[in-house]
Amino acid sequence: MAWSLLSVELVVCAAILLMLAADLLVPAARRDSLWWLALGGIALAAVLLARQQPSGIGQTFQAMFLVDRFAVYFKGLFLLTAAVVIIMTREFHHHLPARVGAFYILLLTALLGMLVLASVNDLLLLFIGLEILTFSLYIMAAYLKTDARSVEAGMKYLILGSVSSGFLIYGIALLYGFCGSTSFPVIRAAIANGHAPLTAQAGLLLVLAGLGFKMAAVPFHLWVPDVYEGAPTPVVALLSVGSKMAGVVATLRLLYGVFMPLQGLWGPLLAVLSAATLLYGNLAAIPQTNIKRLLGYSSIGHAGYLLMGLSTASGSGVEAVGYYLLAYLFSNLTAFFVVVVAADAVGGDALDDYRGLSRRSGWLAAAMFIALLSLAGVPPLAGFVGKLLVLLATVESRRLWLVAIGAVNVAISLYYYLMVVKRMYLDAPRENSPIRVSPLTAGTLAFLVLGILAVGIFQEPFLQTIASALQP
Amino acid sequence: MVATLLAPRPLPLAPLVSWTILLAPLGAALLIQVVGIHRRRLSATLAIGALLTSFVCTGWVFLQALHNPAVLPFELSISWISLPGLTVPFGILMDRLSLLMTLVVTGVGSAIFIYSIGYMADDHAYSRFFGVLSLFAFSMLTIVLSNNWIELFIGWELVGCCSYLLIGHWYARPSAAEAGKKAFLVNRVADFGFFIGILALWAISSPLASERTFHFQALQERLPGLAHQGLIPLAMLPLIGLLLFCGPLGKSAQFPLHVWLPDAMEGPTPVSALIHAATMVAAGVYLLCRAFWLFEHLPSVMTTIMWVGASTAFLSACLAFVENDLKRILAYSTLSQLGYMVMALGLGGPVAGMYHLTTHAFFKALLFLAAGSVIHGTHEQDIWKLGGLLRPMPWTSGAFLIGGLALCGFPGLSGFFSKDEILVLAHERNLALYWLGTLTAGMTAFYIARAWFVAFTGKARGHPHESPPVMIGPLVLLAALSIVGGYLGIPRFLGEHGGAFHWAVAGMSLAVVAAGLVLAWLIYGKQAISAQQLVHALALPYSFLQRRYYIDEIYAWYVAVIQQKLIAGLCAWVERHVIIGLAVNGTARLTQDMGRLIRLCQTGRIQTYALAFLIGIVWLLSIPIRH
Repeated sequence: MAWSLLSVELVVCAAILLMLAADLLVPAARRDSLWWLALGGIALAAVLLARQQPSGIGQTFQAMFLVDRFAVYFKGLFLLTAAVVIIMTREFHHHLPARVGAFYILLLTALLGMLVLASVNDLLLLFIGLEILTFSLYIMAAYLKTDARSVEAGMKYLILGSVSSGFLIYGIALLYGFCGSTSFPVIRAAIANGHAPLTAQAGLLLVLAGLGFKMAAVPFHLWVPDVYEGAPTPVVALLSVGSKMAGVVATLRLLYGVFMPLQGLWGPLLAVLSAATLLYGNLAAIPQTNIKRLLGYSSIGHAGYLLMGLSTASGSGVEAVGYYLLAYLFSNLTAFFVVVVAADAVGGDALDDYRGLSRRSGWLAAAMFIALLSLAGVPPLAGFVGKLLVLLATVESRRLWLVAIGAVNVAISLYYYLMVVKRMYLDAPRENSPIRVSPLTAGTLAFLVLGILAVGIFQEPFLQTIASALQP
Repeated sequence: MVATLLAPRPLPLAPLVSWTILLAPLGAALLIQVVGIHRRRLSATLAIGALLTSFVCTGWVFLQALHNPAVLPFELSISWISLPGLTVPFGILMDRLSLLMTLVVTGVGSAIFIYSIGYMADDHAYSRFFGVLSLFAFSMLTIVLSNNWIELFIGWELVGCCSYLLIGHWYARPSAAEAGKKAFLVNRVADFGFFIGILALWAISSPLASERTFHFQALQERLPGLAHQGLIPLAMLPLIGLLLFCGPLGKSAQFPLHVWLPDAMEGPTPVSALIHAATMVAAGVYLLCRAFWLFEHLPSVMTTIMWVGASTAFLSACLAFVENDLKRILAYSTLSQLGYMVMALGLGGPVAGMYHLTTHAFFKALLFLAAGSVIHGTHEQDIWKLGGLLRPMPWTSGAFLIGGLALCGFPGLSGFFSKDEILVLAHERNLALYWLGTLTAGMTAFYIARAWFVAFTGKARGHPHESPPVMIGPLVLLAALSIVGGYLGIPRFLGEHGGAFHWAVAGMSLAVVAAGLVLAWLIYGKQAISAQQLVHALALPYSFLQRRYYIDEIYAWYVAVIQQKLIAGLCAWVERHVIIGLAVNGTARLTQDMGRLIRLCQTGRIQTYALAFLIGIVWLLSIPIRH
C-alpha cells in the first residue's frame, strides 16, 4: 500500500481529528483562533501535494484511487479554495454559534470529499467522495440554526440532494449490472468498441444527472438561488467554487477517462444542456435584487460555459475547462469575499445596500469591480481568457450555434454585473462612514485580485501547467 | 517564443539593464500615483531619479557597444499572449537605432524633467504632472525598444494618452481642454489607419494562420521570401505601406493632419519641449526608420512620404512667418523640421533622418526651454509684447540665440550638419525637393530671426527676471549639445560613412540662410523696411496664412456640416428609431421579460424543483431510447 499517495487526504483527516479535540479542550474565549489549525492543516497538505508532483504518479486501493498530474492540479485548486474560505469564515465568526470548531471540521470534511473526487478511479469511490462533500455542505448550509432562511436552505438542499443521489446510485447500479464492476478501467474496456446496451447508456445518463446537480446545470439547478440566498456566505462561496469544481472534475474523469467512446451520446447532450443552462442562468439573473441570489444565477451561467467546454470532447476543450475553473476560482472567491466583508457594514445582501460602496471603501469596491468584470469576461482579466478558450474549443468542434449563444450570454451577463458596479460607483451611499478592513482580509483580497490579473495577462505559464496536467 | 539573445557575445548584464531602462519610469509613475500624489518633493525625486537611472543604464549599454560593437543588436523577448492562432511577444530590441533614440529620450528627457522643478514650482498639480511625465517616458521607451508591432502600438497609444493628459494639464482653461481633445481626436483618425495597417501586415505574414507574427525581425526575414513566391497580393503591400504611414502622419503631425500640434502649445512648456518637439512627435520618424526595410521596397509609398514631408516643411515654415505667439512659432518650426526628417526618409535616407531627429531634439528642446524661461520671467508669450530681454535674462537669451542659430543651420552648429545631410541627399535624388528644402532653410532663418529680433532685442517692457539655476542648468547643457551635436559622429554610429562634404550644397544653403537672416534684420532689427507696409502690400497672402490655409475651417465645416448634420443626423434617426426603439429596447424588454418568465419557475416550492428534476431525467433517458 502506497501511503504517500494518500498523504494529502491523511493530513486533512488528521486536521479534522485535531480540530475535534481542540474544540473540546480549548477554552471558549480562545476558540476564535482555531482557524489557524485548519489553515495549518491545509498548508501542510499543500506542501505534501507539491512533493507528490514529480514522482508520485500511481494508484492504490486496488486501483480505486488514482494520483496523476490531473489529480494534483485540481487538488491544488481545492486546497486554495478551502484556504480562502477559511480566511473568509474568520470574518464571519460573529454570525456563527459559539462552537466555531465544528464549522471548520465540516469545512475540512467537505475538502476531504473534494480531494477524493479528484483521485477517483471507481464509481463507488465517486459516490463516497460526492457524499462526504455533500453531507458536510447540507449541515453547513443550515448552520445558522436560528435563521429561518438558513434552515430552509439546508432543508431544500438536503431533499433535492437526496433525490439526486438516488438517481446517481441507480445509475451506478445499472453500470455495475452491465459490466459486473465499478472500476473505471473495466468499464472502459467493456465499451471500448463504442457500443453499449441501453441499460449502460441509461446508467451513464443518470450518473450525469447526479453530477449535473453538483455543477448546477439546467434542469437540476433549481436549488441554487434559494440555497445561495439562505446559506451562510462562506458556505455559498464553497458551494459555488469548490462543490461546482468537484462536479466538473468528476465529470471530466468519467467522460474523458472512461466514456470517451460514447461521445456521440453525451457530446450533443451536454451541448444542449449548456445552451439551456447559459440562457437560464444569465436571463434569470437580470431581475434579481439580492447579491447572493444574483451570484447564484451567475454561477449557473458559468456552469453553462463549463458544460460547453466539456461538450467538445476534445483536448483543447479540457484545457479550456481547466483554465476556466482557475479564472472562476479567483474571480468568484473575490466577489464572495467582498460580500462577506461588506455585508455587516452595508446592512444586508440586497443589491441596493451596495450603493456608494466605492465612497466607503475604495479598495473593496475596486476588488468587487475587477471580480465582476472578470466573471463577465472583460479583457485583460482572467475570465476573458477562460471564455475565449472555451469558445475557441467550441468553434473547433463545429458547434457554431453554441458559440453564438455563448457570445450573446457574455453581453447579457455584462448587463447584470454592471448593474452592481453602477450601484457601487454612481449611486450615493446611505451613510458615509469608511469600512474598516483587517490586514489579513486586505492581503487575501489583494492576492485574489492579483491572481485575476496574473491569470488574465500571463496566459503562457498557466496554459502550459494546465496542458501538462490535463494531457495524458 | 523563449527569451532569445541575438548577439553573438551577449552582455551578461544586458537583460537586467535593459528591463531597468524600460521599467524604471513605469515604477516611478505607479509609485507617484500610490504614495506621492500629495508629496511634491517625493514625486519629483521619483520621476527624475527613475529617468536618470534609465539614462545611466542606456549610457552603460552605449559604452559597451562602443567598446565592442558585437554586443549589438540584442533582443530580449518574453511570450506574452499565446493563444491558438495569435502569439504576441513582449520584448526589447536593442540595436543602434533604438539605442540612439533611447539616449535621446532619456538624456533630453532628464534635462527637461529637472527644468520642470523650476518651471512648475507654483503649480497646484505638481505631483500629477510628474506622474504623467514618468508614464510618458515609459510609453515612449516602449515604442522605441519594442520588438513587435503590437507592443509598439501600445506605446504609441499610451504616448497619445499622456500627450492628451499633459496638454490639458491646466484643464480648467477651456482652450487647454479643447487642445487636448483636438490632439487626441486627430491622432485617433490617423491611428485607425495605422492599426489596420498593422493587422494587414500580420495577416499577410504567413499563409498559415498559426504562424502569423507581429515580430519585427521575423517579418523582415519572412516577407521578401513570401513576396518572391507570389504569396502576397501585389496591390496589398503599397496599401499596407500607406496605412502604416498614417501613424507617422498623425503622430509626427504631417500635412494635412498637422492641425493639432500648434494648439498643443496650450500645455506647460516642458511638455511642449519634451513631447511636442524632442520625442513623441519624432516617434513617427523613428517608426519610418524601424520599418524602413519595408518602405524602401515600395517606391510609390516612398514618393508619397517624401512629398508629404517636403510640403509639411515648406507650408509650416510659411505659417511661422505670420505667427505672433513665441511657442507657436516654435511649434510651426517643429512641424517644418519634422517635414525635413520625413522627406529624408522618403528620399531613402534613414540615417540622415535620424541624424536630424537627434540634433533637432537638442536644439528644439533648447529653444522651447528658453521660451519657457521667457514665459516664466515675463508671463507673456506674444512676441510683440516682449522685447529687450538681453540684459535682464542673459542666460535665456544666449540659449535662445544658440538654439535659433542651430535651427537655421549656422555653420559649425549641429543643425548645419544634419540639415546639410538631408539637402545633399535631395540634391542627389530629386532636384525639385532640393530647391524646396533650400528655400525652406532660408525661410527658417527668417522666421526664427524675426522671433529673436522682436522678442529679445529692442526696448524692454515690464520687469523680466532671470530664471532660477535649476532651469538655467538644463539650458546650458542643451546649448552645449546643440553646439557639438554635429561632431559626435552620429551618422557613423548609425553605420553610414558619410560621403565627402558637398561644397555646392553647403554654399547654396549658407547663401539662402544668410539672405533670410539679413532680410529679417532689415525688417525687424534695423527696421529699415516697415513690417506694417509689408503686411499691407501682401494683404492677400498674409490673411491666407493667418487663417492657416483655412484648413481648420475646412475641418470645422466638415465636422459641423457633413459629420454632425448629415451623417450624425442620419445616424441619430437610425439610432433613435431602429437601434434604440427596436433593437435595444426590444432586446432589453425581451431579455427582461424572459428573465421574469424564468423567475416563475423559481417558486420556492421544493415539489416544483423535484418535478423539474424528474422531467429532466425523463428527457435524458428518452435520448438513447429514441436512437
